[in-house]
Amino acid sequence: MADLVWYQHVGLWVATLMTLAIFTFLYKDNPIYKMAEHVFVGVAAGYTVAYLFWSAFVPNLYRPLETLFTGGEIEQGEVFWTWMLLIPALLGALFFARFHPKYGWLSRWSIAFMVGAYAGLNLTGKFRLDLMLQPAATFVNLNPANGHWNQVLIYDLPILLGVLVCLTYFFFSKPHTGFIGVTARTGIFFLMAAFGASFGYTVMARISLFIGRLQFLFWEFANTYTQWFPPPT
Amino acid sequence: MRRTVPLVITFIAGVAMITSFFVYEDTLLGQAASRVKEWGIIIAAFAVVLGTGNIIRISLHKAKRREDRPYKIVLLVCLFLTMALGMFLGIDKGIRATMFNGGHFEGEYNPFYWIYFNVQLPLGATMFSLLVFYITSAAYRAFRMRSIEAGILLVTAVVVMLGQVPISSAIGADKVMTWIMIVPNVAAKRAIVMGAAMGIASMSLKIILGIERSYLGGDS
Amino acid sequence: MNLAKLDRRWLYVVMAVVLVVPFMARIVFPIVPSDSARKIYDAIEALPDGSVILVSADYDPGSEAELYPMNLALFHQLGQKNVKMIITQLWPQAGPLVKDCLDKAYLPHGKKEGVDFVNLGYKPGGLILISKCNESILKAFPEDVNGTPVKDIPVLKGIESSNDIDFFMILSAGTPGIREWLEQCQSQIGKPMASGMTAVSAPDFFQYENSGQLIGLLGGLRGAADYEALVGKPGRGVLGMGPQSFGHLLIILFIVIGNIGYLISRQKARRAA
Repeated sequence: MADLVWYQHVGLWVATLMTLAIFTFLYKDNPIYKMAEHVFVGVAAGYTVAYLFWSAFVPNLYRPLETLFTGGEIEQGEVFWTWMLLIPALLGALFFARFHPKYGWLSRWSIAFMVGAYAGLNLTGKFRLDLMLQPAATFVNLNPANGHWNQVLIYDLPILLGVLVCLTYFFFSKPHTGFIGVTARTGIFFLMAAFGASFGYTVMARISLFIGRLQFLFWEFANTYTQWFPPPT
Repeated sequence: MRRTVPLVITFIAGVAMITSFFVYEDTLLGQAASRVKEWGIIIAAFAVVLGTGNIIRISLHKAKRREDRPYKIVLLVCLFLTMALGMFLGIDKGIRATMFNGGHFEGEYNPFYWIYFNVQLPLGATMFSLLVFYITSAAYRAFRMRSIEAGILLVTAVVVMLGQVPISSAIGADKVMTWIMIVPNVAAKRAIVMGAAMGIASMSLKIILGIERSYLGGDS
Repeated sequence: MNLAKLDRRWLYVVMAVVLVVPFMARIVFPIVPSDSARKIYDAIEALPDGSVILVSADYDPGSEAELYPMNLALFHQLGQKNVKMIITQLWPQAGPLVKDCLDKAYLPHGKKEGVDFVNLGYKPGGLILISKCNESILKAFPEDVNGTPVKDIPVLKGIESSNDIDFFMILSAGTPGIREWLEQCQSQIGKPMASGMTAVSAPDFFQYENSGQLIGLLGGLRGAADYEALVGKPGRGVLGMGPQSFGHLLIILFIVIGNIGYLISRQKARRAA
């Protein structure tokens, strides 16, 4: 047996039993799976709050405000903005007003801030990334460097045509008949090819996740007690 | 108050973010916009905690009504235990001296860390690993070539799956896969994100200007 | 036995056997790294001494099987280079996984925390956080994971914002992740960026590699295997490709069998009609 401390042995067994408990769902839904599922939700939620406490609340909110009250060192010009941190603290606390039957509407103030902030960032960010830089990259250089026409004919031109026909498919203000209909149908073929590619990658992802669990069960658990399945060095 | 103040807050937050895109930080406007971002990080933290608060509220409610009571009790016990351990002992591998524990057990192995690696990690990873079986079942029972479009989808999927296999270079499937990923995949996804970006940009503008108010919910 | 009505649990057993047997037999195929993985590797190798690289670990246990091997291989490579590393996380569950990677792959190269690298830890906010980092990383992250004020950390001297970073490597499992980094960081400051991501999201980001915004991308376990092969540290990725390949072949077989059965039954129905 590998040289492990008692809590590492306990941990290995707990992790393995939790893994197998989830796998029991493949036979059918059962109390063991349900229990493991509820343990997962509880632990994940508790973990997130504890992590947030030490990662965000303490360094970004508590410690700056603490320096105000304990007379700690504050940079010049920061005193006002440190006091202003009470505003996000208040707005954040107002999120929990939604649990109150009478004052639940106050939580809208906090939601409004987040929605407005994300709307502002999305407007500029997505506009630049997907409406400026992506169309710019779609343009084809008909005078390729060093006469590399292979790149243009095999990649760049088909991409440009593909983008145009797919955009035609998404244009619903004109009926898809005649030339527009043929173009839109070509667009569907490009879209189906893209979705097929996504499906192929999705299959790879799912299989990989199961292989990850096999690696734990054999290399970490089984190998600890049998030495038959050594992990890669 | 109930609708006007949130609309004003949305407008100020949205304009602050847009302003920061165009204005240097060392100007007054840029400074204010930059501070609003710092506030956003703090408020986002509260938003995440709200999700946990909701889980607690719903679990308590169900436990009181005897719906899945044993499971909800286990959920709440695990939640509070993990949260308490993390907050009192710190979130590092070794117990850290925090304002709650006065330095006791500093340096010892942290039970919070143990819970992450032996409970949360295996449970989270295994939940997602079940999907391989569902996709196997779907591949056998549901993926049918009912039309030309479905046929293109399936043929492309098969070529991409073959191309991922290391030995595919022997039959040239990796080169075909690369072409599929670079040409039709890029073309279609680019068209999709361009359309989506137009929609998001217009929706964002409507939200900031107060034309779109569905996020505020109904009157209460 | 009507194959069309086969209990799905038998299909699960077949898939489990097809994955477990090659895994136990340790079937390993030679890995030919993709051009995309090679571009990332070469770009990091070409970083001059003293460069600053930001690694953002934006994943969780649900994607650990794909992204943890990438993280390990990346840290092996960076451990051998004389570059400064700043680590951030946009997902809280990535914290312990990143620490584990540091212990296993980076610190054994003799690297010192605070001098060669800093782990700034997790912050919420996603888009807002990344946008704030464009102005000031030090204000977004006032402390590192150990609670040390960032102004006291030697490796961060001279680094104020994302503009002072020379290379971004984003390990992303979803939102917030590589899309947010591209939107708020790369498209605005134009610094080199590469990404390792889950295979589910990889097809959506080839367009950004095509436009030059991403130097390259590593997709899923295959991407991890490619990078392990380039770094010369075969591990979970390379060893996982054996069962992965057989799993793919089984799925293809099931699709073919399923469609043959469908075509036959459709023909029978047409003849009957």
